[in-house]
Amino acid sequence: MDPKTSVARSPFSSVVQRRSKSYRQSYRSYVGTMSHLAYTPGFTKRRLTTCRLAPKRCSTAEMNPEQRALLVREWQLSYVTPLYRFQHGHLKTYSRQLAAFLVSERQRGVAAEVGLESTLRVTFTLVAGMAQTEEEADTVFIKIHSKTPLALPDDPQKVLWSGWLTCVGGDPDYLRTLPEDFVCLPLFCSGGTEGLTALVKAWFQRTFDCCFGLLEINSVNLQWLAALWTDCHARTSIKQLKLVWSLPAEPPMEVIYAMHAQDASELWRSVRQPGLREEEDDGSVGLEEVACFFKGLKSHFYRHFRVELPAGRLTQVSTALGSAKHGGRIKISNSSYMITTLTLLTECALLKMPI
Amino acid sequence: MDDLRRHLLKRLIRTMTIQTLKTTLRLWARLSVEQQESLDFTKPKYVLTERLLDLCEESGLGVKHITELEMVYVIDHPNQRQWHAYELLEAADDALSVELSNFKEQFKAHLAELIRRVSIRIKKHTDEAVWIRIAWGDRSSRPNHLKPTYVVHHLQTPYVFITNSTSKTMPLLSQALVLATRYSSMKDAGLSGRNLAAIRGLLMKQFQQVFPSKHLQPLQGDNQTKPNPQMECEQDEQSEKRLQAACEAFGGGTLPELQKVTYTLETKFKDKTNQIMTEREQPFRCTVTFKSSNILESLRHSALTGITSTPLSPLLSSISQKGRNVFLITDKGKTEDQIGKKRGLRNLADDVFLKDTIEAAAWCQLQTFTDHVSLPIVIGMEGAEQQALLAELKSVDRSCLEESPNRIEPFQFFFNSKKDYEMFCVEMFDRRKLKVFASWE
Repeated sequence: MDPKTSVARSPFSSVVQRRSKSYRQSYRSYVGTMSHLAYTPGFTKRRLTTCRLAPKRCSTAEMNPEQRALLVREWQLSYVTPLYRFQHGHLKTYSRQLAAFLVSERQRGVAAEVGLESTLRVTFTLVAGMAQTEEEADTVFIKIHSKTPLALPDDPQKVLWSGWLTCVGGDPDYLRTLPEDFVCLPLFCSGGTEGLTALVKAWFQRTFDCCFGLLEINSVNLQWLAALWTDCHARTSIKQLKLVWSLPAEPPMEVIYAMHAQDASELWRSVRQPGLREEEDDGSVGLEEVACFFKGLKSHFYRHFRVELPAGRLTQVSTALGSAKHGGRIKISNSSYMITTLTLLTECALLKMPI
Repeated sequence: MDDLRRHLLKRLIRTMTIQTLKTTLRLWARLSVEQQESLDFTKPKYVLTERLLDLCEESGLGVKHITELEMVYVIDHPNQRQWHAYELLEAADDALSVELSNFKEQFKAHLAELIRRVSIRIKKHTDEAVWIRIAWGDRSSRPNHLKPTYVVHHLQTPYVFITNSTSKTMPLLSQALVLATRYSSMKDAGLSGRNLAAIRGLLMKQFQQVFPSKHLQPLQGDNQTKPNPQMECEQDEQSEKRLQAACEAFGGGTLPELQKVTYTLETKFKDKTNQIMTEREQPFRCTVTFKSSNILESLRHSALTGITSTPLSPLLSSISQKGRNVFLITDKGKTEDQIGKKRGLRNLADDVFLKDTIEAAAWCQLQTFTDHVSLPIVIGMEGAEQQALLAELKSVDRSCLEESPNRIEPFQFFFNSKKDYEMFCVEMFDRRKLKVFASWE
């Protein structure tokens, strides 16, 4: 066994015994043993992924309607620590419990509406086919509908809020170290009013003893997304690659750099260095290549405007395949490369978890 | 008619605050003082709208008067629209002597000649600007008062500011304006923004300009005491230089408010570390937009802090110097005119067939082929000839197109080398999904 892993693994049993319910061991403490040392080069290297698989296309025919629901809108991302005693077999119970919780929370407020019980309905559904390995738990999709008492059963219901919990391509070593009672679904995507999001989070916290936090996508990960999406252009058109930087001027300035897809893709191909990788397979993308791609983009920009883009912050990346913002908002527009995007986000969520 | 009046008024009131409504009604002066005083401005807007409609009924005011109210409001609050600047070219000898009544008459007459159903209102504002409101109709419908075009022109200047104009109405408007102002043509000045006063100021150079000088003068008093006298000296010189350069490029004092600057770059990618891209023939196409609440201020500030290096890029300094915020940048040798021509050609190509053929030809011109390629003869023809050939081609049934080679021929690309032909096919059919004819011998 890898010595690092063994060091990390040993304390977990004691952690679990000490806190019978609360599970606080995080991915970071597992990966780097002691993450306050994590900024030493050796550990940082272990923490940051420097090589990823190039996006593979999966056909839309394989998509089920539940998966398609994930594409519709822009989602706000959060991370969630592992859920205690979450069981995929109890989704119906959870639906009822969450509905009851929402109604009771609403009635605690000043403006209690009479008959609200009948107007809210919660459904938990399983989204099959997202998990990449056996260790990963299945994705759970949650919807809150409003229904009017007079509506016919087959009337379309208005969706007030929707959200989902997922784990795609999480580190299998980490997932294996989790005790049996814990289910790891680290990525939480929500869409709806903030009030409802807060209530849903509160219910999860209360029921599964987990905690939530805002998941920001830092510029390294935005660069990864830009590169991975550009890599797809050979198979699926990305229309254009749009990058947004915010620069600290007075008043604040935004630079929107939109490239023609064909040209961005050719630049990307020109920085791919197959010789750099140890293995022969061309299915992986290295961090140096991403850095090189961005260096090229920035130098082309600097040659014209003499403006230092690195002084600012990359805040947004968007293509026809999807868009991601620094504040943790994401939209996936094309199902074909959803898994790649979610793998990256799952990894971000695992890294973001508190110790 | 009554519905339209209600709809217009409702929409107008919705956009105003109560305070502006008060002042606008006073400026409008169609209601008597007593009538204005009878309005209760503490009531909700929909009640006010109903009350106003009643008052209009009383005083016999119709749609025409409501559009006038809208015009009063727009003149007072011009910064809620996106304005585009246009420049009039080649003035006739008597262009400077055009006066308001003459202009009014001419403009109305010319526009009415071009389009029958149109409603025009012209009003002179106190700052010598002529405001024109145009509601467009077409053959079958009455002028649409809900989407009016506004035009602002200062007589005796070559600039026109237009908001809310479509590609359909622009040619008509431009012709009427050119004739009424005695110029020979009008072109897009490449400047747009929400603040009308700012874009006017930028075009007419009504901002504090700073000119290059050998002796640096302190432009802004900045009396900060710094601990190390040696360091102070060096840094001050540096920052003064930067300040001078920034003010030369963007102007001193308060700068005109522009929201964004857009550059369309079609230049070669040059990077010493990237051999493949540097050797690439085609330009790297991208669009760069700078956005801020006041972009000139932001850029000047960024030059002071060093985010933008000095000497400043000519692309940035031409915003103030040329008074533009839309630029098309290409490498030398390929001028803007050529691209304009190419675009013009494209405009003629209404039909997808012709458009695709033209696009394919444009692509071929950028490629280096191993052997000779002849472009379709239709490319070099006049618009009318192109259309005639196209009509001939269309008259043939799609299924038996192959059997009438003489109809196809004008649209065909001929390749001498099979390799070139295949490259062309991959690009055109597989990647761009175009409809073109090609063959190789």
